[in-house]
Amino acid sequence: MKVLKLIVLALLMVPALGAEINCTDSIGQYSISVSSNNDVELITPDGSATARLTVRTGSYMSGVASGAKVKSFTLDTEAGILRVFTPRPKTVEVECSGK
Amino acid sequence: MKKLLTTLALMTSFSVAATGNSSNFLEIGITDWNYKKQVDKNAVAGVLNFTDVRMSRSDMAFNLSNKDEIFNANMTYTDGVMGFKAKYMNFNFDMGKENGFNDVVEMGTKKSLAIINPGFFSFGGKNFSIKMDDLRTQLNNFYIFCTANDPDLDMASADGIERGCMTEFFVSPEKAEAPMTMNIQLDYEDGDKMDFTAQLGELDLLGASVFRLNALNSTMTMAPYFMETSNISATCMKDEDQLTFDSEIIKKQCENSVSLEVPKIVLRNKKDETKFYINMKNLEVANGNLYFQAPVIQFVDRESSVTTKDLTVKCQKSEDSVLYDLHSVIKECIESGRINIKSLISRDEENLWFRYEDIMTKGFDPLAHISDKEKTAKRISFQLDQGKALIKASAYKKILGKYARFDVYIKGSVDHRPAKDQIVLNVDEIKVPIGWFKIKWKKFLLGIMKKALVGENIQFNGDRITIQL
Repeated sequence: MKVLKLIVLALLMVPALGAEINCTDSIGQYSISVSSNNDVELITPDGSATARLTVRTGSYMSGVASGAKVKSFTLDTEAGILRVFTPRPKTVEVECSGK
Repeated sequence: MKKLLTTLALMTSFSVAATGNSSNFLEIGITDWNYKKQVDKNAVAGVLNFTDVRMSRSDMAFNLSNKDEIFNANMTYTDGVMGFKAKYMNFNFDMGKENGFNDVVEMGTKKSLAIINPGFFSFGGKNFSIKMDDLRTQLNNFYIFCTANDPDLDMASADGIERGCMTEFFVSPEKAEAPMTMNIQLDYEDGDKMDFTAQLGELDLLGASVFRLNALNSTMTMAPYFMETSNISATCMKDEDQLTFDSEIIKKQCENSVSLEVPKIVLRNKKDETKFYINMKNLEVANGNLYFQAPVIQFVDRESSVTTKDLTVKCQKSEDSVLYDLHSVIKECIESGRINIKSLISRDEENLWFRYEDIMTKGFDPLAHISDKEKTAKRISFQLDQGKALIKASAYKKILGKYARFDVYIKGSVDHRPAKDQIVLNVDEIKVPIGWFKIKWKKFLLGIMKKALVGENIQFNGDRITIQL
């Protein structure tokens, strides 16, 4: 039983450890997750991409992506604004959870 | 370009710390920013109205939201220091006494967003204009994105932006539904003016080496010429190690590797009232040669037209020759060149000159009224080698309703006189159909060549033929 509790606890902790911040737009086309290691995963209609953070100051962060058409992004978690550059810019309102 | 980049990066007098974790950045939403150079250094030189600014330098970051426009600022520019003074704010950016902004006479942008960031540079908006001494540029619905794809390079500086933009850039309409328009006005030292407007699809640089351009259409006025083009697509190369902007070096590298396609070109010479239509398949510079293919070239004046079909040119193109200088190209072709024309049709016209106005706007085909059977000359070839010319052609003349063919062979030397805008062909040897007298070939050739060149630009003097360009 203790082992089972530990497994459940571990499973519950995985998302928290893996993604520090998650943001999604209202129709689920765009989402971004930022891990505590500053690893970023972006999902867009143009494909998904991984990215690395180059700026993280308060609620504002930005990074350079690799993969799909996405070249870079900026995110303001407080204002709920995600800009994705493909490289033409697309501004999306998102709701964020996490730190 | 460097001046422009410096200007756009004006707020980043940051030092370049080459780390991927730099926190130097600037993001500014501009409602309206205009500047006009003032004689009085302390006078207000413009205004800056913005929506918000996010800025960080080293460990200090701040966000500024211009709620109720309380931070709308007047701008000054004195001895390399750009100042913004608002009711509750006063900013100064020291750009150094010697900087590119000193050359800016006027500059403005509306509804734009600029992001200067360690990883990329992005600038787009409704319009942007800049005027320097002899150059005015205006962009509407524009977007520029640059990145170096280098985690070790901090792009949050003028040098970083320059290096990034020389590695990978992307220029396109900001809003995909409409084209990006670009207008360039250039004053030349001799008093000539060039006015160029284009609707751009995309312009990009990939892998620090390949430029690609797509333009929907363009117009250019440079007295006495007015030119219209449609659907331009072009590529050219630059050295991938050339990561600083040097317009002369990049222009040369691009020129010596260009590949250009322009399906329709209409050119008007307002001085002598001639018009030209060119259907160009390809113009290419490769392996030290210039290649040009034009399925159709047509020249018209108010009374006549000359149409060439399937013209091909192959000339040497040394690195230091200049592609957009006609005399430089002629010099190269005379040194080593081959020109072939499948057929040439010369005919009288009634209203073709007027109908040229409908080519671009209404899709008028200036060849539609010319029968496939019409011919004045066929299989025309010019072989040029170190100033020596060999010309072959089959000329046609209608006799009693039927075409009679005359094969002509001319050998001579070509004298190029750029200062007089002339090409002189000195005829050394000629072979014409049996039974022709020498006087006849002159008359015949004059007739053919006059027909081949619209206007009164050709003269015979003994065995010398002078073409005035």
